[in-house]
Amino acid sequence: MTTLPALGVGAIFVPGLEPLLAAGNGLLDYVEIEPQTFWFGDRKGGGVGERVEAVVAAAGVDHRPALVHGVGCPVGGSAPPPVDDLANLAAFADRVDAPWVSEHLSFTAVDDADGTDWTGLLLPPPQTAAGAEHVAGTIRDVRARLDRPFAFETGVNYLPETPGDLADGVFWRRVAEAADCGILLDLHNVWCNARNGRQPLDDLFDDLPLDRVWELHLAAGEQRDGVWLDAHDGLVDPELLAIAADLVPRLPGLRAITFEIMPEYFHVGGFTTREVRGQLGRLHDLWDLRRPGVGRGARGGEQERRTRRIGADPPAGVHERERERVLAARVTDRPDAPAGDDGDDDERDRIAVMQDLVRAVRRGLAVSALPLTLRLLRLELGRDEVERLFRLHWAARPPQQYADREGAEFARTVQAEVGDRVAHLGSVVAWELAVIDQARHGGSRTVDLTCEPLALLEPLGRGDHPGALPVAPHRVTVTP
Amino acid sequence: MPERFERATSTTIHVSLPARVAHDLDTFTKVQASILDRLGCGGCTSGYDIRWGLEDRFRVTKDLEVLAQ
Repeated sequence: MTTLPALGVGAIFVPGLEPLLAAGNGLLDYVEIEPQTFWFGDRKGGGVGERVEAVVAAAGVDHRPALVHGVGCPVGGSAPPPVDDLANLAAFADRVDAPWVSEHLSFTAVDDADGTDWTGLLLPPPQTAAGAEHVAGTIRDVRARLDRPFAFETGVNYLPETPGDLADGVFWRRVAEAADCGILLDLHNVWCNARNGRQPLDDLFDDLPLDRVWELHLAAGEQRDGVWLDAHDGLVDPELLAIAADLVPRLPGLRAITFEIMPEYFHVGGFTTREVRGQLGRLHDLWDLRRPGVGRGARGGEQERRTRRIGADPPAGVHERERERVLAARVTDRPDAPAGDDGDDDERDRIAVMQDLVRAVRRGLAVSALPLTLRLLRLELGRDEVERLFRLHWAARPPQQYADREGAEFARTVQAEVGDRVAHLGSVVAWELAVIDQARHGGSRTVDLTCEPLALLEPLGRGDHPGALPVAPHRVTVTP
Repeated sequence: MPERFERATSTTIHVSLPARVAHDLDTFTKVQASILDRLGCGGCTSGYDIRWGLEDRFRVTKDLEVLAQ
């Protein structure tokens, strides 16, 4: 049996959260790094090089342990995570010597004859007995490739319960026991699920094998269009802290309590050092409630809690892969997406919220890759025209998993739809794509611009329109 | 800043720029994280991505003070 270290209280880390680590100095026993947020997915070895080393240094891994939390290799779908991505994740886990690695029991891709379609959002898998067996096999394979202990994260699910599916806690128990792995219980996810009408928390905690919970995630969220979202947009709600305080003594294997927040929300929130330290102090209070080795695990017996049957059983022969494909098509604005099986109004409303989330993710990925291009478009054409371009892009091109890819695809849309209507737009696009390509592959890149480079790029960097610049061809070599 | 300027032909000027200039140029992105540090997947969240909304409101003064429009 693997003996895992008791780590204490930590925080998620991605670039941009350096101020969180600084504010929490002395109160963060570990960091949990999400490496896929800052590397290119198709680069061998996870880009374990200069950029990765800079992030590792910023995370303070030299003086505290680091966990690795995947966001790009979810294990809940019919399609297994790409082998190269897993190799990258393994390399990074080796680099920081992570005591365990966690990933989501969700899916972000569906495979078909034409290749892989990305979903743009972590989506919930069908919760069937066959599905549980399948993803348990995936987890066993992933763990072998990582060669480290593995825990899956309990995902958020904005959809109503599917008649005939296993309840959330039963599904997760089946997976955990079949895979013999740990559970990262994201309390904010399951709280959202319960508030959105899925399994009540008391029932969930009865169904889960609590002795397999190694780690808790705690975060904040918000309500939009009647749905509670796992937004990671602030400090943990006191009501959720109270739920955690009741639960922690029942978790004999708990090794870590992780606070999660997105860097953008951290900046926008303007949280003071006192607020951050107060938050982390409350998490340490939770940590002190542990009773290691004391507590019961899963409820005895073989109760198979299924969801309330509010309609007929699903049609026989509907395979998990097909259900994933239908859900992915519906949330990604695919013109050929089916309307869904039952036409339920509540489900349609939830799908609409998820579509909006996917659109927001795609906007975010595009602006991360092409900030100056989008700034010039907004300044020259206005917000409405930029929104029209986004909508054309979403209808024409599927989501991409990584920002660099989404940016490259959006650049194609921009060049096709705008072309020469905006002076020097092609130069800005070419510059940004060259910078990304240089970062991805190293070496130098040459790019032709139609005007003096800094006269164009510097104002955009400040958020200003560069004005009417004379045509003055420049050939720029982008160097390391 | 450019490392060198060279008039190569009568119509085209050749310039070398280190890639890090992309970061140095973009004041707003620098406030949050390097451009090159945010080219991967989205994070562990299923909430509303506000990166475009922040960009849409972005403006900085010449003293690099970030303003919301």
